[in-house]
This record gives sequence, C-alpha cells and structure tokens, in this order.
Amino acid sequence: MGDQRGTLTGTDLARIRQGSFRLLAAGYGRPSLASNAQIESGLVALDALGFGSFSFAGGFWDWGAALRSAELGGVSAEFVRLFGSGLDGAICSPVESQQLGSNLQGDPARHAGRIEDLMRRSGFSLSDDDRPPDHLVVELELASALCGSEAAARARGESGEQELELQQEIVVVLAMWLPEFARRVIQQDQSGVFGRLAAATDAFVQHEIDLVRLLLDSVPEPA
Amino acid sequence: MKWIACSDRVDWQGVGVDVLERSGWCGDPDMPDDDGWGLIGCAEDADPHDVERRLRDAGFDPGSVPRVWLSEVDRSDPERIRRRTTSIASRVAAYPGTRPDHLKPVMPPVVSRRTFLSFRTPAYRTVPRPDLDSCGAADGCRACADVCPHGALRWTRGTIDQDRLACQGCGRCITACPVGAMVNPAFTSEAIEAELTGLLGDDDLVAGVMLHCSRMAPPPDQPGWFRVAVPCVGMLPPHWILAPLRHGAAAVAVVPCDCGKETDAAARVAESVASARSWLGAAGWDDAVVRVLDAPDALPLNRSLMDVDGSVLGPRGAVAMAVGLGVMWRDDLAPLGRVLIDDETCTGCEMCATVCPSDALRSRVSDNGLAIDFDAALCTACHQCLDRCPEDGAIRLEYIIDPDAVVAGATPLVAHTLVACVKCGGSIATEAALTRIASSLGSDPTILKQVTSVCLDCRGSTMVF
Repeated sequence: MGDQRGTLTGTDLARIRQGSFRLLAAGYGRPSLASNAQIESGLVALDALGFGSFSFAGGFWDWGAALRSAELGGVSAEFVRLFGSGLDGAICSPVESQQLGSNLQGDPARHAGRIEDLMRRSGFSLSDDDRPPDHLVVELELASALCGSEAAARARGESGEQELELQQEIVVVLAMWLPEFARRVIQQDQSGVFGRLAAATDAFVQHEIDLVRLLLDSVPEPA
Repeated sequence: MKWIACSDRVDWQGVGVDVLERSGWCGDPDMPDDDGWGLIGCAEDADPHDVERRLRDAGFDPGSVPRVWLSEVDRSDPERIRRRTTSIASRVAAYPGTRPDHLKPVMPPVVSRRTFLSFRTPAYRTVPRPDLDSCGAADGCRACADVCPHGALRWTRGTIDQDRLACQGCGRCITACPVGAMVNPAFTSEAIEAELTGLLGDDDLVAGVMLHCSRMAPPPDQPGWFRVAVPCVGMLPPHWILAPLRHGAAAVAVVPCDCGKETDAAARVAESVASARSWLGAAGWDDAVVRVLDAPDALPLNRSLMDVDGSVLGPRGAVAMAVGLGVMWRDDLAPLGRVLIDDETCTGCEMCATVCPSDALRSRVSDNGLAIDFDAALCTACHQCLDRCPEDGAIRLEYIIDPDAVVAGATPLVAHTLVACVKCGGSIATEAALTRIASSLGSDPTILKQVTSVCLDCRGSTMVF
C-alpha cells in the first residue's frame, strides 16, 4: 500500500494501527493453533501495509519468531502460569486495576467504569465473556476498534479528529499501567513468547502515545 | 566490515575499502541481507530518511548499520574515504541500541488538507532518557530538568518524567548530568570518541574537526577538516570542545548553529569557545586562538599534543582534562567545582550529601560526630547541593579547576557534634540542627525539651520534663 518512498494514506496508517492493536490483543488470548495461525497471517497482512517501516515493528517480528518456534503445550502452560485462569492467583495479572495495586487511586471499579464510559461514547459495548472492562485484551481491542473508526472516517474524507481524541484517552490509560506490566512479564516469562509480546506491546503503546498527538496536531483548522 | 557502495561518483579501484559496488544505489538503495554491512552513498543524491525507512523495513535497527554519505571533498581523497568509513564503523560499534522510549517519531508538517490525507512514514530521532540505575532523581537531583530549554523534562516525586515530543534533542541534559545517566544512544560519549579516534588515528595526519549540530544540514565540507555531529553545539562545555585536540586534531571549530530551536544557542557557543580557549591559554598553549575556532580556517602545521589519559566526554571527562592540562583555572563555565560550607550556618542536615548525585559530598558519622566530606574529583559543579540546601549562605560553589584538589581525594568541609538521646543513647541530630529547631519552635520549654532530648524512635514513649 505504501509507495516506494514510504508514503501512506491516513486510512492505511489507521489500518496499520488497528491491525497492530488487534494482533496484540490476540496474543494475550488463550494460545491455540488457530490463534497462532491468525497471528501469523496478521503479521503478513501488516507487512503488506507497510508496517515494517515503523520503529515498533521489530518487536512484533521478534514475537512472531518466538511464537513460531515455541511448543504450543509449553506456551499454553506458561499462559496460565503468568496470566492466570481468573482474577486471582496470576503472577502478572493483565487487568489494569489489579496491576496498579498499591498505586490504586480509589475504588477499583473506577478503572473499569472509565473504560465502559469510553466504550459508550465511542459506540461500542463489552462482549459477553468473562473479562472485566479493564482487562488488557479489552483495552487493546477497544483501541483497535477506535483506529478502525478512524480509518472509516478518513475513507469518507473526514479528518478523524474525534476518533483520534478517543484513541488518545485509551492510549493514555494503557501507558499508565502497561510499562510496569510489561516489565513484570519480561522478568517472569519462561517461554520466550510472552516476554517478547510484552516488549512489543510496550514499544507500540509508547509509539502510539506520541503518534496520536502528532496526528491530532496535524488536523488542519476548519476553513 | 563490508560496504554496499554507490559507484556513480566514486571509482572504488584502489580506495582500499571492501565494497560491493552498486550503480544508481542512491536512487534506489538496496539493503544488506544480514549483519556486518555498512552503506555508502553520495551526500548530494542519497535520501537518509528513505534509507532509514528501508533499513527498518528490512528488520534492522538503523542505528546499528554504519552509513556514510560522501561529500565531493571526501570523494577527492581516498584517504578521507578510508578514515570516514573506519570512523563511522567504530562509532556504530559503540552503539548501545535503543529502547522504545528513546525514539521520537517525527512527521513532516501538514500544509494543506490534501497533504493531510497522506503521510510519509515517520522518521525517528533518538532522544535522551535517564538510565535508572545511575540517575540521582530519587535523591532529589534534577540537574537535567533544570537546564532543559523546552520543558521536556520534569522532576516529579523522585523520577524524571520526559515529554518526548517536547524534546528537541539539544543534548544539554546530557552534559548537565553529573553522572552521565542521561543517555542518547545515537550520541554516546563512547561513540563520539570512537569516531574521533577513527578519523584522526595516531599517525601524522594534520586535520581539523568541525563540531556541528545534528539537527540541521551539515556545514560545507572542507579539505583538511572532518565534520563530527553532536546533538547541538549549544550543549558543548569547554572540555567537550577540547576533546578533538586530545585525540590529535590540529584544531577544532565549533560551527555556529542556525537550527533556531534554542534562541540562546549562539551566545552559549560563543561563551563556551571563549572558555575553552581561556583554559588552554591558562595551560600554556600560546596558540589557543588557532586551535579552538568558531569557524574552520587555516590549520596549524602540526597535530595537537595533549597529555590526557582516558575519556574526556564521559562523566569523569572533565577530571581527565583537568589533570591532563594541569593548571588551576577559574571560569563560570568550568566543568568542575569546589564546594565550601560555612560551619556557622550549616546545621548538618545532610541534604547536600543526600542530593549530591556524584557523591562528591558525603556525610560521615563517627563517635558523637557528623562530618561532611568533599571530593573535588567527583564535583561537576551541578549546584544541586546549593539548590537544595535549606540554610541561606551555608553552601558556596566555586567554578574552578584545581588539579591538586582533584588528586587530593576527599577532605572534610565541616564537622558537627551529634546530640545523644537520653533514653537509648542513639543520635537525635546535630547540635547545630537542634539549636536551629529551638530558634524556630519558640520558647515552649516542654516541647523544646522533648524534641532536643529524645530521638524519633523514643519520642512516642518517653516524656522528658
């Protein structure tokens, strides 16, 4: 999609980010042959969009390579060991209110409530699974959906400003707890897969924090 | 090291660099298949942003791939080409790699709605970040935040928060950091010194070094001179300006910065160049004015001979330069300092020793006594002690290079008597601190007696009348 000189349309840029968030969310789901295949094909699709030119791409390639060479049974066991099978007992709980621990400001439900409110304002709702709204997978999927909305807006010739502002909200939330979560996963992971996934996630969110601001700054003033 | 090299403007026969020649490479650069390769293009034709993008696309960290853009001056001299490739390869060999938080995306400005609909892939600038293992922010040091002209650094509850987008990469935080914790992976002291060594070698070459700002197009190349990029010339303290001379450059020129990102850059550069000349002059260099320049000029006939051991760009670089030049020198820009403590005003609160990031000030407890020691070899005149001292006039800082003091080691500046707890015998505080507290608390004898007779641990369980 990008031409030889590295030019992307705004729509393609939004799609790359949508796909990246979606892929990361899939990585924190229960491992299976199907999910691994989905991740592999997702990486190929992102590459075709011109994703490789971005600074965070290297982390995704490393994760993909680790996933390809890892044994599924071992990865599955490590998934349960790290992220638990419920809210309790996880070494590295992928839930925002759990991760913030001693830094928690007020009622844990506020964290979930904030995400639910963001969903409502952006026209999305929580799917019917066991994950709380402030679960990492939910937050990543919401970010992905918002990038998808931005892509659709740009395809209609709009600036995507509203969607970018909503993205900024979710990315700021992620940046608040993700670095420490990623650090713990990298430290604790014994499979070689989830540490690389966490590093890729951290790198991508760091990049998004800056990129969304740049994109918002680039929205032209109304004529 | 092997190189993929454009052959449109260079006849590589006999140059003595191991190249894989590519005609038209600058217009459509192909990337290496694996590690161990560098890239050589023509400064007039190559698009560095496009090359960086292609390197990332090929799975490389661009910082780890040596890239040399040859000017017309370079191409006219095979020896220059050899030195440039050697120096850039050495510089990249010292590259430590980047973390995600070191990379700031930069996108071209949007000028119209039409342009807004398409983007170039971001370019990335590396920005400095503190190394948490050596950063003194947890003890109150904020030397980097104090000098940042763009408000990109903020000390918050013991950490340094950085706004990457606000950072303009001026590098002032790097040279302000007393312990070298502020690191920009693209401009480490090791990498810059490796480049200088590669350019100047240890042979008879008489050449000058132009230090220039990395944020704008390099200055025109000149025969006899090599260009070395630093984050911005406004960051350069005197010992950094003198560093090329230590490596054997005949002269060093600090090219004025027109990038316009810091309005005081020109004035800072002029002051720093003047200070560097003054320091050399004080050390007996009667040709200092032709060795340290503000623009490339005629070169002296010989290399500089400077007897300095070790790195001069690292956190202890100023000490190495001070010992090597061996002269006492006072100047507002002197990179070392001398702390003086007034024993009448000092209360021994130890705030200076706590905050001192380089441990130049250290508190030492002995029998019934507390001393504050000072080691001139570790003081970088960061004035964090001055800024944090709660007692006006207790601390003075002199900007001075004193080679004798540097080698003397730690010496006591002030000594206080510690008052013992009447219950457990442990220390309460220094006598001077308790006197200070007494003067603040007024004349309530009960409170005074409680505070000045028992330590914190015993205070809750002991009443003293």
